[in-house]
Amino acid sequence: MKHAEHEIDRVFDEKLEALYQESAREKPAAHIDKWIIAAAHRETANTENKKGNVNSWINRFRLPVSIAATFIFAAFSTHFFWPKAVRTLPGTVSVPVKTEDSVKTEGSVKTEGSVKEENLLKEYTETRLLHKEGLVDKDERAVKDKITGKKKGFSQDKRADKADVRSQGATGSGELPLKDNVSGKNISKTQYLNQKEWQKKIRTLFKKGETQLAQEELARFKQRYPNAIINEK
Amino acid sequence: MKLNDSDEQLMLLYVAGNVAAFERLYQKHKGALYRFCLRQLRRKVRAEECFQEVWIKLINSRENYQPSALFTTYLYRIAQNHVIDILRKDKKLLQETELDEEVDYYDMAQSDMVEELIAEDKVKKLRLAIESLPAEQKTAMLLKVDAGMSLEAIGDVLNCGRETVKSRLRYATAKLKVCLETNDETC
Repeated sequence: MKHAEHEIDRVFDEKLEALYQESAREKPAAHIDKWIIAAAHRETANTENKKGNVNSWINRFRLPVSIAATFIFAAFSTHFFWPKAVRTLPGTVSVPVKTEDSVKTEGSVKTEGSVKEENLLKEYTETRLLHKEGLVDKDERAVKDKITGKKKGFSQDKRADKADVRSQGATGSGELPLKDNVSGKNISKTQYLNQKEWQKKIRTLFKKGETQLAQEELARFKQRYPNAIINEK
Repeated sequence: MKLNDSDEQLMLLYVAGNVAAFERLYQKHKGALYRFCLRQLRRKVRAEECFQEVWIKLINSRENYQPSALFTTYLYRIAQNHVIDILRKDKKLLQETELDEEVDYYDMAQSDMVEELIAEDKVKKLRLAIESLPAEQKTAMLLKVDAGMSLEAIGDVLNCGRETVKSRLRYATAKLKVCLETNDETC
């Protein structure tokens, strides 16, 4: 066995291998050599660039700094832009306020809704006037329903209405069923007439001879406008 | 850089960023590796592709190089694995058995093979005979005669023991002898 192995080695090492080496002269093309060496240069340069990038302090601190900046921005945004909670009185509920278009009138600015309410109130007052004169108004209930029906739509708590009415200085002296025809939202617009109109209305009542009603209105007027100058005569 | 730097030292220099060391390595091994690819794949175009890809793999995996292994072992292991991948893809991987019992053991002492191979046609026949060897025997043979590797190094490349390599070389030699004696180009 060792003899055969020795013979194989001898043959390949001495003659056969030399013959093979003599015949085996193939080499890769020159462009392949250039391509491979260029690839070696390129990869080495890339590695150096990567090392440079890893070592730079900007890359080292980029991640923690960006995380910290994100947290700070979120905290400031929350503080300044988050809607604050509305503080309400105990027993009251905050509701969204309906924006109404304003209508210009003589010397004052009234909203469209307040004009409608005023008309309804005037109509109701006239109805009551007729009732006092003994003329039974068949449509009184209808008018009341019209007013109160309009108010039902607001779905307000009655206690809240009372509180709002009191806050406006109205005592509920009996002339107007305040809890029925006003709501906490628009009581300031509907409860009282314009000062001049109210005076005119009182004068009209006196002229018509409705002294009692006129006095009641005058009392209410004084209560509402205590500083107003009135010619009692 | 010293002229007698070993392959391993040159490779370590290249890992450190010295491209000149790589150029020296390349000039030293390009011929043998190219012929190894050419003999294995038989076609010039495929051999060139394989040759390029092996060097690119070496370049890309240079960080993984451990100087405990010989550079030639490292290089030819990459090459061998790549050749096997290519042959598998082409479904041309030969399934020859490692030990072909039908091949008669060649008694080297009985003839003078060197004398018969002097003529040029004999050289061509030798090359053809090598190319027609079973894949495992051919690889061992090429690593021996082309890369000049020792039996241990060939065993490292092929993932087998020294005795296995020796056996493959022995059978390869016997088969070459038969082919050359009978002038049969298809064997």
